Amino acid sequence: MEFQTLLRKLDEFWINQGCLILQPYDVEVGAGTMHPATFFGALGDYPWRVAYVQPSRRPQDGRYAQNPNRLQRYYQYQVIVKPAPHDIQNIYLDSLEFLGIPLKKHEVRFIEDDWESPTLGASGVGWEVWLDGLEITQFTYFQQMGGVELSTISVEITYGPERLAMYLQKSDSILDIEWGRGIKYGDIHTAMEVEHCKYNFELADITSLLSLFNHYEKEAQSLLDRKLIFPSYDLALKCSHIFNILDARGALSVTERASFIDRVRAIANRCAQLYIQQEALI
Amino acid sequence: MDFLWEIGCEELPPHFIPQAINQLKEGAERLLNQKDISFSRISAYGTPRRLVLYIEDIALIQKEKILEIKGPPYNIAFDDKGNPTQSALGFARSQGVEVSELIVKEDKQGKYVYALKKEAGRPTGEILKEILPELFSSIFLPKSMRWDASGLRFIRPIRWLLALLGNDILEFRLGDLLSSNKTFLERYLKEEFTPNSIEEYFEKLRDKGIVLEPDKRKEIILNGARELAEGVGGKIAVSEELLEKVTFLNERPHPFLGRIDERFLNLPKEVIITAMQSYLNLFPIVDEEGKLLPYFVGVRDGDEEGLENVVEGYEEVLKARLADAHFFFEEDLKVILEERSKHLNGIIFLGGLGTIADKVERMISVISSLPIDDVMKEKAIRVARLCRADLTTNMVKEFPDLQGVIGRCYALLQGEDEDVANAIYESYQYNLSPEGIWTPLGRLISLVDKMDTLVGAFHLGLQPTGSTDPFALRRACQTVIDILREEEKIQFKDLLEKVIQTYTEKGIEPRGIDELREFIKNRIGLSLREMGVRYDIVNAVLAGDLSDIRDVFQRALALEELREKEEFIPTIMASVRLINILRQGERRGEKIGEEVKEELLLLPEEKDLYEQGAKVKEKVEKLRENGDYKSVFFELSSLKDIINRFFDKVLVMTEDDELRANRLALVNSVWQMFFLFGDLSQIVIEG
Repeated sequence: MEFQTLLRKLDEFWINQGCLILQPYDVEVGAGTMHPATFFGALGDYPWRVAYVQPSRRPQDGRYAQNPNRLQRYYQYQVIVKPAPHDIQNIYLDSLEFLGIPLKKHEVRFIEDDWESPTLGASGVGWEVWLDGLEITQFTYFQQMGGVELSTISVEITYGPERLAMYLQKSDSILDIEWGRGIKYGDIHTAMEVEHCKYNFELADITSLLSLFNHYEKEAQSLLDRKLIFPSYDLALKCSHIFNILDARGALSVTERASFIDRVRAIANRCAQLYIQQEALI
Repeated sequence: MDFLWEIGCEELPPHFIPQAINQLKEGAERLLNQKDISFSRISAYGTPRRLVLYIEDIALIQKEKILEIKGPPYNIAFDDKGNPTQSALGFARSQGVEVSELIVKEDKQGKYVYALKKEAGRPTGEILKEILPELFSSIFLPKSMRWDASGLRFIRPIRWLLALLGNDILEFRLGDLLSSNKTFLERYLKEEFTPNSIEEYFEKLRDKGIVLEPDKRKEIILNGARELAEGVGGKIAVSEELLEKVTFLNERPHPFLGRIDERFLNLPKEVIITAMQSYLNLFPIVDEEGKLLPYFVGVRDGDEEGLENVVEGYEEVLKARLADAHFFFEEDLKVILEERSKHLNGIIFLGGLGTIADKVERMISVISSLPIDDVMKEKAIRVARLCRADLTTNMVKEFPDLQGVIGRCYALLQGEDEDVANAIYESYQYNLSPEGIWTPLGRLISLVDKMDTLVGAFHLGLQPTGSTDPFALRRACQTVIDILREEEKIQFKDLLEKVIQTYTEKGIEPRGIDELREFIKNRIGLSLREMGVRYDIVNAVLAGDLSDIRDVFQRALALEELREKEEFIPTIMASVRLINILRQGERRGEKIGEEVKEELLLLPEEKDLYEQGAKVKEKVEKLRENGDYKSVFFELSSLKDIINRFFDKVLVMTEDDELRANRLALVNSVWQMFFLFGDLSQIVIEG
């Protein structure tokens, strides 16, 4: 199955489950959870069903396109369903069948893996899902988001589409996955991957990144004073990405890391609180 | 009649299931006993997807209860002739019993009449509905979650409740769930099943290959794995921890054999094993010599169908992991450990106490000052220089559990001395393990490393509190004690002082040293107690000199051994007489002479004590050097009658200032010999 078909099939499946298909967010994020559709969507008690692809950046994970399993930018297929249906595990398993994986002939396991995002003040309980030993999905019941204890529980299902495609195409490397029409994943991503690694690990200018971080943080806090939630949140995401690059550059000591994480979380928590307050007014 | 309760769950964490099973069983026993409901047997089982409670021959109704209701005092209820008064008649009537049925009992307040009333038992079903939710919420949750609007908490969502009392549904609610007679078998098939009886439930699960009993699953896994391993001429390397985990990861365990790509067998064995065990729950297979064979045993949760896909899947994932490891291995070997150790200045030590490079420098400085031979010293410095270098390797970043293992492996590959390589590994370890890989060099390095960590951590105020000990300081301390217990050349006091000095030299004035001493002292006490030394002996010894831990243990163990001897108590009592008079003197602000002046010894009893004391002192000093505290004790014991005669005949607190000071000096000089053991007056003498 082509990579693009895989993504389309997942869309189709989740549309049939009553999800809206959203588009990727246009600020660099480390994971699909950071998309406002998840961060804010998990807050509040209204029903919410969405799915979308989110390109995700993890500067630390780059390997100059030399490692078959690791990239600094890859995709997540993210599903949020609120409230979490009682048969959500079965629905998820159906989605695998729908991709053409007959589960009777395979092994699917749910392996305990509680999730936590200190930058978002978020945590959840759940599993990583193994298909014949390969981790293909994170499955999480959110408990907290932006420091807010959630009253209505969402389930987050994050597929690793590259992993699934490698499995379905029996490919040994992400870069060898067929995207579509004979074009490979690597044809599209290799050059980008190598250059970003060079930037992330070697060239990113630490001084200007540090000052950008400070600048964005300050702006976010002052926007929050004016109750502008979404622009502030974008700035928190930018801070988070800058933090990740600084980390990849090895520019942060252990204590500095902790304080940067705290600073991003402070913005995210304020965004969440304001959002909840405004929700309550509607 | 039997009762069956199945709690259907989404995958429970494996470590949780065994304790949940125990708590279900014990909790049910406790609650049923409390409620006076009889049964013949309670069993509890668990798999990742269900917790099951099975009660056999449960009584359908609570036992009848007999209540004793207190009435008026006997002398008011009955007259002198023993006839009931109005008071008795009224009480009997109010309780609905005949006067003749009243009984008389006596308590502290006197004799009273009582009415016995029978209270009929309630139906078991009714009571179960009340106690099952209570039982459920009594299960300890290391971490809890919510999953629906009911707010019910558990470790993972529960999705169905089956409850059968006999063949009937016992209907009750837990959160939003209502119990029923339905269970779910194989999930992929969404297989729902409604047993007509409890027997049918157990039969159906057996038919489907679902093994409820953990012990049976373990057996299936172990036997299957052994058979598969023997088939390829090897045996499985059983890690109990993994076996336990896998037992609780499967409800339909089906062991299978997989292959390891032979290209990767040149990787360090520990790397391959870690990749298999810690990340994929696979059992390695080894030959007679313990060498890895290119196979593994995995356990599928399911049956034979499509097994080839599962095998291939695990093989591929393992291959990818090992390919990663292989890449790291080759990259790592391009930079030798010595070069790597220069980069330790980029790794923070204990969150704010300089870097690991600083720590290495301190360790080298401490080692240089120790009273050990030059060859040892040279090797130890080499180990200190290299022992943390593996923190900079890709392999340790990828497999943090392998710190030390990788250091040893790379050290050997780059041609380091074998002792040095082993000590690099041992520097990370905590326990004097039964594997017996504790080389003298390893002990030395571990000792210095852990003392450095303890001083640093107490300086930063990171001492363990309650159950939290993120820096493993208790283990570090225990290791220090265990090593020093058997160490002849290095004394605790000198080592601590030297470590403090290395901090001071770098501009850090360590705080919390008194707390650290107290912490170590308490740990020594715990160790002694664990070895069976009585608490009062521990207290006595710990009140003495602690500068040499080996000596502390020798003293304590000797006293413990002597405790039953007939000389023990009289000797201790004699020593108590010494310290009591000294304390009395201290309270009165008496001056104790520096030395005993022979010419001031007037009475034969004090001369005797002086002379015999001097003789004993000479012997004691020699015996003590050899750590022969038992003989020390017997020597001291030989003074007990002399001491007693001394106190019987000589007035220490005499009016004469000079005489008094001299006698106190004499007592003190004898007491000092006893004090070699510690403060013996803390030993409790019974009777």
